[in-house]
Amino acid sequence: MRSGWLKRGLSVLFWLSIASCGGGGGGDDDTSSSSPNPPQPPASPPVTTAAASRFLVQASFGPSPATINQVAAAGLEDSFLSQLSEPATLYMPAVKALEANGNLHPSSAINSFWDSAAGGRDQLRQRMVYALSQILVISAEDGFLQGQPVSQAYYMDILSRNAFGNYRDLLEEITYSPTMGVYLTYIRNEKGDPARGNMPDENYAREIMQLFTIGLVELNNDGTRRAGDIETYDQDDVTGLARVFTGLSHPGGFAERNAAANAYEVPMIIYDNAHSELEKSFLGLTIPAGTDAATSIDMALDHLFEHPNVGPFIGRQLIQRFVTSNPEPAYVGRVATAFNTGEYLLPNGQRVGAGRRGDLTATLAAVLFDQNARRDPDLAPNTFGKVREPVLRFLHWARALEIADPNSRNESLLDDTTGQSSFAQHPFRADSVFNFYRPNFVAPGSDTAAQDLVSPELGIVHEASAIGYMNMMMQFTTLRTPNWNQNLSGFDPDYTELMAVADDIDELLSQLTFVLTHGELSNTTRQRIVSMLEETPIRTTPNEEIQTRRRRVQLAIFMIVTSPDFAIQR
Amino acid sequence: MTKLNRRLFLSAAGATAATGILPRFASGTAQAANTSGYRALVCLFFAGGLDGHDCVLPYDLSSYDQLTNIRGNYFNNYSTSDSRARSNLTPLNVRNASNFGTRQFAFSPNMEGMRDLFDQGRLAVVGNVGPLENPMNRETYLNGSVQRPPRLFSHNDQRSIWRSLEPEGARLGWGGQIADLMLEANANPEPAFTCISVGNTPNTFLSGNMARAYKVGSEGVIRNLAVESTFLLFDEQKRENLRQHLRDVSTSRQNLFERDFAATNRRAIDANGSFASAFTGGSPLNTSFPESRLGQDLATVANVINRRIDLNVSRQIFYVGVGGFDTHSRQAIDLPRLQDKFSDAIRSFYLATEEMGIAQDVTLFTMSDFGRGLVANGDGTDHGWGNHQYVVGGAVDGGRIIGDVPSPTLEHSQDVGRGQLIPTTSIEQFAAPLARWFGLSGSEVNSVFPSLNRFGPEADIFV
Repeated sequence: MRSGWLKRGLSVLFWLSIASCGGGGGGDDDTSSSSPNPPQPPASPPVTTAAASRFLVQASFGPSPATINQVAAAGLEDSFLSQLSEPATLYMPAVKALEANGNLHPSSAINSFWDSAAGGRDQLRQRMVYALSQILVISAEDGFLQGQPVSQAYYMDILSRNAFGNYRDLLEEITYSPTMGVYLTYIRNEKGDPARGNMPDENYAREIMQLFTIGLVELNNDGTRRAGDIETYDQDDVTGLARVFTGLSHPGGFAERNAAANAYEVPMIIYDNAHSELEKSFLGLTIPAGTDAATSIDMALDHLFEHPNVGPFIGRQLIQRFVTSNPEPAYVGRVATAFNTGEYLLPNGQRVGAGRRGDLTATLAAVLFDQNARRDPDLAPNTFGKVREPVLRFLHWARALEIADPNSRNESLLDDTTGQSSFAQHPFRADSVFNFYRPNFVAPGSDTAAQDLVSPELGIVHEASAIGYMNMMMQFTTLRTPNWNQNLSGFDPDYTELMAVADDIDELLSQLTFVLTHGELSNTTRQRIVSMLEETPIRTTPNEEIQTRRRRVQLAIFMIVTSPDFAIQR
Repeated sequence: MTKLNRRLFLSAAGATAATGILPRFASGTAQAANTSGYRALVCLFFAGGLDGHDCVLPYDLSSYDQLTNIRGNYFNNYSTSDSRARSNLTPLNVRNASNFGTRQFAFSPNMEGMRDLFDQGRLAVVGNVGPLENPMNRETYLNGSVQRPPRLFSHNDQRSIWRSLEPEGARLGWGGQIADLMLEANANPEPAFTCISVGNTPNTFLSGNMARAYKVGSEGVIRNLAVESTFLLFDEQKRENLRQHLRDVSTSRQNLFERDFAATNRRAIDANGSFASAFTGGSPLNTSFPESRLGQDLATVANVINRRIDLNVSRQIFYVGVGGFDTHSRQAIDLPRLQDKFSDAIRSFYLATEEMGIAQDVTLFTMSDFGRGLVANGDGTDHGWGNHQYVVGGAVDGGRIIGDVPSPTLEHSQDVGRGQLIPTTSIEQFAAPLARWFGLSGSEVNSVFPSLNRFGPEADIFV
């Protein structure tokens, strides 16, 4: 079975883009060095396929037969390192090419995300992009940005290039991005003018504190609230910080009518005469009157970035995006410490991170390699885990079935999945800067709520949207999705090999659970699927045989991907 | 496609309802609510913070001049047809004008539909409503002698406070708590459709201990392909088995997220079945609604109300949200269009209730994160606090401005800075009369709004 699947993978070795540096010894030609043989790199012990599958659910958009076997053999540490050196997918080149040949569509940039998530090699990086896009939110639902795919691609590339870099650099790039300038309304923000009664726009000043750096209340390093429920900032801080983000606009001229042709795809520039000359005070920092914009922004970003809240505030949200909705404080503390120190020690003794505060590689490693993330789920409490959002469930299905050359442009159902009759979310199209759901969302009337747990994803997984997801998976599984061009690929799975084993229910389920549910299935779900398949016998006439084999495969897949076993990650 | 088995779906929904055992409350007020006839409350939430200063404008010369002192320059941003020049405003016929001396008022020129309703006595303005711990003014705000409400000016917290009287993280909303009391009083034999939320935004307004929001998509009733289509299965019995799989009735799941997910699917399937069958064979309303998303969402509310007999409900609370109001920039471009849309949609909704002959039984009321500052920031406005709200319905004593509308000046006793208003009516004073009209008894109203007695009289909204 495994070999049958492997032959289809285009990217047999993509999890190991560099050969493991097993031969670390000095070498015969090392005549110039006087140092002893460099030490052997730490071992990356192989893991079970179930453990590999769990890692891939967290660290990629979903396991496939090929990647499960590769990761199991290479071990988690080497797989992680290998992904760090995988070249980054950038979105601008394809968008520019479409622009050049007149085929650019408003959704071109964002919808190419489906394809890179389903088929790209830099899985971990794009998974981080997706996580960051839910914290440092911009959205194509914005009235202006919806017609600016090039600006969207510009922003997506900032996230992609900095995904394994440093959070301070990321903050600076997004602050100067015209995409964020538009989204949070500080592009062309002018200094105050008492004569005309204007004050600087406060939107970015508020949201960069509330959502991108420090949050609303003072935190301990482990993410718990400091005693006294102390608010981190007040209205005066917002007003003071708002002065910093004045004077930024596009090349060509400050006013919108003077915008250069590339206005929304290059960093914003500073127009000194529009920048506030007043003293800018916030959070205990005073930037002297007359300080220029670039220095003011630098000082302000440094001051926000150095706040002790940032590590736990961002760290906890990253844990929620990758691993579990309610991490215990000690877990948050370890991730925050990795953020603060810029380093993390992998389980095999290898150190990652450049040692500078805000290192995202170290932070991500802390999220993924923590004992809480890696332990056997049967040892975890029943309060551990999370509901996987519909987009991630869909992409896992696509990767598990190894959709060859995924092409979302040919799938009209993927053009806009924001509706409740669809996935109730679409990457980069949140309703507001507060993302699809809030980190502290408590689902009313739920079992999680009764135990004081949060479940952000239940904010969009509810009575009106649950059927939308089922309908989408029904259509994709039965290949009933409208394709613009029937001769081109879309997200259509090829069932040939699964159909070959459809007569053997155990083997069929074994192959499917291997890629969809870590090789396991609860008795409840298994019994229902087995019953259903037994009531769908394979017929004997050639045409009917193909149809019934196909029906069995589709039924089994549909029933698995709509089960709690598949939807919940633990 | 096979026909829906109505009996099957209704009985399934009935079974679900029966398993939700209604707990007895110790308060002893359980049976006090009035559940006769039919009543509906419709909450319309303007997400982002609607600028009330641009909805209710001063009209008398002296007040209008005060406004132009502050916003005059900003008014140059409007197009000719949207102009806020006094010549482009139509004064409201305010029945309680004596409360305001020589002051006169007008709605924005983009709120014609609502002006008509006001002049017909079907719409009332409730002035300067917002969260308060205790009555407060500029002096007590600045000197700290009265406690400030929490997390002012923060979108998500203020939305939560309007819906739940608590910052983000609240579990219950006052709409859900009202619904709980109605369920206690057996207002609805099938509780599933007591609270209905239309559109995408998830929130706690309709969350109670028993009551929960049944969410209807903006697209209306969604077909359940697994059950209704033959994409996968031709046999009806097998589709029923598939439906049972999707309902995942299992006592063995331990993980709380698995249990919640399974419960969500179960409720979705059961409610979708009953809801869809309630709409089978019904005749549509004649009233036309605007094509805007809000227009269609309010049309959905009207259509659900129109099926109240098949849905077997006597008390319902609806929630509809509409976004785009956080007008930090482009306010002169964006807000007029938003006002056109919500004004038209509200008017259509009222007309639909008249068509159904129940205008006096349906009350629509508005909420928003907060109002905005009077001082502009260039091409927009920033977060405020107190805001004007609107109540619409046949039972409303309309054509009046209830409460206070502070003068369009700065540094007065309700100005916290730049024309961000300290409320003169608390959320409790605004919401309690709505709950009372809906049928709650006096003690029940106090249980939902425990802080009510810190404030003066309730807003006197109803005839």
